[in-house]
Amino acid sequence: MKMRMSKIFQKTMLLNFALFGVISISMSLMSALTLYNHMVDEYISKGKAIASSIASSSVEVLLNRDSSTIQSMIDQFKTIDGAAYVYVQDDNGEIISHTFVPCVPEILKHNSTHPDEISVREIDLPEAGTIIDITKPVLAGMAGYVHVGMDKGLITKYVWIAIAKLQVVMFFIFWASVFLLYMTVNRISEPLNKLTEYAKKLANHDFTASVDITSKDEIGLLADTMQNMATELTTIIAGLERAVTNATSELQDTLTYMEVIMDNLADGLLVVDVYGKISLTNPALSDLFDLDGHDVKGKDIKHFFSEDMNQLFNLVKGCEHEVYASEISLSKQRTCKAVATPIHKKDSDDDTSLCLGAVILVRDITYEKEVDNLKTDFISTVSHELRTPMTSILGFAKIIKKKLDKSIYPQCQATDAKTQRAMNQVQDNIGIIVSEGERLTDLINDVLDIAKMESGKIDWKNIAIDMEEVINVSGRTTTPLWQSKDLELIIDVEENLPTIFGDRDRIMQVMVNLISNAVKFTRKGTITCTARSHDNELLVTVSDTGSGITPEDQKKIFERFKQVGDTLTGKPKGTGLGLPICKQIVDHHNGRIWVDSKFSEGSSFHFTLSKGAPNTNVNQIPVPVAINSVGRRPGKKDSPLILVADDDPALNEFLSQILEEEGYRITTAVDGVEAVQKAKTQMPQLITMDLKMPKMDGAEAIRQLRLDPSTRHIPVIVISALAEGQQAGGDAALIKPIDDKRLIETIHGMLQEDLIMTDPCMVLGKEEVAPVQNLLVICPGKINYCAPTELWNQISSGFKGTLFIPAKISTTLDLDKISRVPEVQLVIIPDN
Amino acid sequence: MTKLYFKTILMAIAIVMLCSPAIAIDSNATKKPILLGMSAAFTGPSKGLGIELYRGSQAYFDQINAAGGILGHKVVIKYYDDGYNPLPAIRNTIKLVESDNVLCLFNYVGTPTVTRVLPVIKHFNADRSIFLFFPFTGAQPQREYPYEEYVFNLRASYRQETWGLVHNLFMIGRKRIAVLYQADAYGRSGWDGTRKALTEKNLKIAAEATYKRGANFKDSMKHQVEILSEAKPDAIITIGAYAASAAFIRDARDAGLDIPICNLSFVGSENLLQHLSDLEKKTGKNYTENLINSQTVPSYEDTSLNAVRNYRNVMTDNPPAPPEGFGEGYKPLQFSFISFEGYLNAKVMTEIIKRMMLREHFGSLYAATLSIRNLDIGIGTDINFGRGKHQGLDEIYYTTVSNGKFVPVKNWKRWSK
Repeated sequence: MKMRMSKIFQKTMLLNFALFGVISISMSLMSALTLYNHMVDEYISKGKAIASSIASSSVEVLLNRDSSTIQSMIDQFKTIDGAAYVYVQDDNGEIISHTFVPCVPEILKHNSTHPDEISVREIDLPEAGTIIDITKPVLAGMAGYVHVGMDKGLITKYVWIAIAKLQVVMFFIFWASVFLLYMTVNRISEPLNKLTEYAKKLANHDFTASVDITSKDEIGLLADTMQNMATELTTIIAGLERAVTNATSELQDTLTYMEVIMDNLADGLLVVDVYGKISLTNPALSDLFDLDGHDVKGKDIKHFFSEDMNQLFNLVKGCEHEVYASEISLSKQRTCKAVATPIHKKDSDDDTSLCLGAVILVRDITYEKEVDNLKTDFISTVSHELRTPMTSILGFAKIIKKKLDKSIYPQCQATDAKTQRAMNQVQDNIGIIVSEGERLTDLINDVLDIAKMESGKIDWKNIAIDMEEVINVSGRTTTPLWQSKDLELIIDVEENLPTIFGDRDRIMQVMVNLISNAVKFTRKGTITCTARSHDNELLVTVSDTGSGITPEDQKKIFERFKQVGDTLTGKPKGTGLGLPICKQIVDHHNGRIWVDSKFSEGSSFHFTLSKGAPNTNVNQIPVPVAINSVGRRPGKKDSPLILVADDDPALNEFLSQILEEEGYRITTAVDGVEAVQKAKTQMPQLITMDLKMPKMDGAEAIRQLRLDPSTRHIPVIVISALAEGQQAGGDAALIKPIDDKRLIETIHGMLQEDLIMTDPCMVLGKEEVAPVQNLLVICPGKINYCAPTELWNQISSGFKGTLFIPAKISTTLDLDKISRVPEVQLVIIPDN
Repeated sequence: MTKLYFKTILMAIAIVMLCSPAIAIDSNATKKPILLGMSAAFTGPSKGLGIELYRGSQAYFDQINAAGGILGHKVVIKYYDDGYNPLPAIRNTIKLVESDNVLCLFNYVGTPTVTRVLPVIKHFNADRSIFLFFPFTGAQPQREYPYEEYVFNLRASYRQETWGLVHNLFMIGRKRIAVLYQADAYGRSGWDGTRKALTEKNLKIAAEATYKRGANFKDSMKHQVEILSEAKPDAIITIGAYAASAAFIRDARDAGLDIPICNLSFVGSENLLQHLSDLEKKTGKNYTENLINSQTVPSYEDTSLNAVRNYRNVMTDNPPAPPEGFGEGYKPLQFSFISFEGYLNAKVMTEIIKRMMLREHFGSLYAATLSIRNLDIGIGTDINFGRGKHQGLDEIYYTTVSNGKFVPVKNWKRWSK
């Protein structure tokens, strides 16, 4: 306070001092100059007056030469203030009277100025200083001269005295002004100090303080303004506090809601910050990961969660990716699905987003998983069951049709129109039965396919694939389709496509499916297949100029049993499972499949395949070379060996040729005995068996083979012109004349182990009488036979798998009890 | 009532008692005393001049008054101090003339004072005649126009004194004469006289220096000694008062300047001697050698003279006190040239007043003075006044110090060069 006051005071003091200094100096100078000039003038005129006075009154005396009288006269004048000396010269210039003590200065002794008029000059006397010498002639110099010396030094002295007096006065005025200044500054600074104190109180949020300044000047105004400001501030702060309280309580409410919601969330919730520290969990999560009793908040995610969770978090923690989902195994055979979402904080200012961490939602899907597995198992089981009768139905329908075409119609020379019409009707009907049967078979196959894929019961191969070759083969394979519709297929493949690793046949399946679809929906125009390499993957596109797909449909087509078009009114042209299967295959190859389409302009199906890497761990089991691949190197040592048994050498040769072209090794037998022998010695992977053969017919040979455990598992395709081929005990039957494509497909199917259920199969009943000719398709080589009386022994001894029970026996068994046995699938085989 | 009455009686008694001396005087001397106005230096460095002059005159008047006065009128000196300064002298003069109504002005001391008083006297003479008798100065103004008619001098002038000194010195071969003089009319008067005397002999003042009036014995005169000694003078004439002259002599002798130093009568020889003798006693050095003082009255040691004898008797038997109120700390001299001059002044004045009272002069002091012819006052020389002759004596007497006394100079040859 003191300091502040004295600072203002100091400043004004300094100003005052400077002002006074200037005033004092200038006044002193001015007055000194004025006084000096004035006094010099005064002295000169005084000196002149003295000189004139002496001169005029001493004429006679001078002439009388009475210097004593003159002396007394000049003594009088000498006493006049300022007169340094007076002396009188006679007409000879001799000094006859003077006032000098102790003697006349040398300068004046020999000085003989004799002016005609009164004259003024300045001389410097060694003892008296500067003197204004006034010389007045007496009687024009006749009587002599009067000299009066005025002391100039005296003038200076007086001037100094005057200045000193002035300074003394100024000094007193100065201190008076300092006093006044002090009082004034005090009067100003006191309210200022009060204001400062007040402002300090305000700064310390003491708005109740008041300041006692009532003056009407600027300071008073400032004080009023500050007080008003304080009042305003109080109001505003109160308002703010209210708002904050409201907001806080709202926030608390919201938080409570959120907490309750989170705590009661069925799914586990985990919030992790960017550094991997757990920020939030909910009870459901604790249940899922057995975290009860652990304080996980703020700890590192690694300490409490499995590697899967960490990886999931690592994927999203940088906020570079969007949402990731992963299935994670939990304790107690539980499975859960975890969905990780990064937390972005959008900065409203510069559109940059700040990553705050990740939210991971964990849902227990153990139950769903089980249901899904059950469903898949069920579907595959049912499909198998459907397939067995379908084989018969379709086979017989085809045989009937063939018989009708070959034998009946030419015989029936129908004369009457009625019979002719009936014949035509039968002909049409049998055609419908065959085609619908074929469709149903396809459907069942597709359903089985997809079921196996979804349940993971498929063995994917991992081999090097030349995509260009795959596309070319696909095009060739589908030639009948598009050629019949006069469509054009354009294949545009980038050169030097990199080799990828995957399941060649499945990828071929995708290609064929897509081309088939394109053909199906295109009336005229072109179908274009392109393949391009992109970074680490291949992009394959199949475009058509067909009817296109509406955007709503585009979303659905990859779902199961969704076919474009009204399946009720329109003619169904597929199983509706092709694209879902494609999606499964592409997904397996870490690719994506999607469609671009404009309605009525055409569609483009794209899929990508990641390049993949060769699977070094996989045992290089000799896999059958894809049957569809034409021009594969024949006779390869590890190619599947097929035994062709036919008594007709032409047919034997024909079949051998076809199969050799497909890359199989071939061995032949001309009768049943040889076939059985060769099967036993060479252990072929598959046998084609003619029924009508010398020495031993096919049926007998099959029975022989089945009897021998070493050959029991070898699939046998019966190739026969006879209808009874179906009953011969083979795994599949083909009727002559042989459709080579059909044959190869069948062989392919037979050799595909993965097509077969992996679970062991058990058939109730005696081997010999078992109605299981086609069961090998499903359970090749793994079928156990069991007497009904032995059933419970088998089950209790730990059988797990599929139990086939012929319908005629089923009535004697407690099916209900069997179905309750865990992990035993019950299948009733209908009677033939 | 009783109180007031008592008071009145007391007052009356007081008045009676106060008046009784006057009544006594009145009864003794029925006639009015004759008042002589005197303004002189009773204070300051030259107070010895005024006091001694007064004492000399008073000694004679005491005799006259003791013998019944002049025709029953006692002679009283009405004195004022002017401290040897012109302005108080002028004021005193006006007071004496206008207030004290003195018969005449008498025994003024000093040239500067008298010179300045002269116009005042002239002014008074426009209304009535008032004269200045026997001022103690040898200056020229009161001896010349336009003031000479209002002044009567008894003593010779400075011109006469200086001429005498210069002449005597010239005669013994001392031609380079330097002058120390008081920077005022007195000094100028002596300087002028010296110059004139030298001019007569085709000589010039060898060197000159001044000192300020009122200088004390303590003051240094070394500067003046230097100025004068530079000119290598044969003799120095000082025109000053005793204190300054004594100081000069002291410094001159201290500076090794042992040439004759001459003083005018005005110096106050006894006072000068007293200073120097005191100094001699103190330092043991000789300061009184080679001093020549010119006097306007005969030496009071010359007891062959009638007036000297009378003077010595009076001064021994009835030494008058210094004027009342002055002279404190001043030790009156038993005899001195000044008091002797005062004694003579009083003697001549008494004769003039006596003649004034004669019928033929009709109370005219002027006529009475002019009537004095060949008056013998016992100094071996007659006093003569007359129209155009307002100076009674022209004789100069030269004295020198011998055995601590001023004795007449018998032979100048001893200072021959």
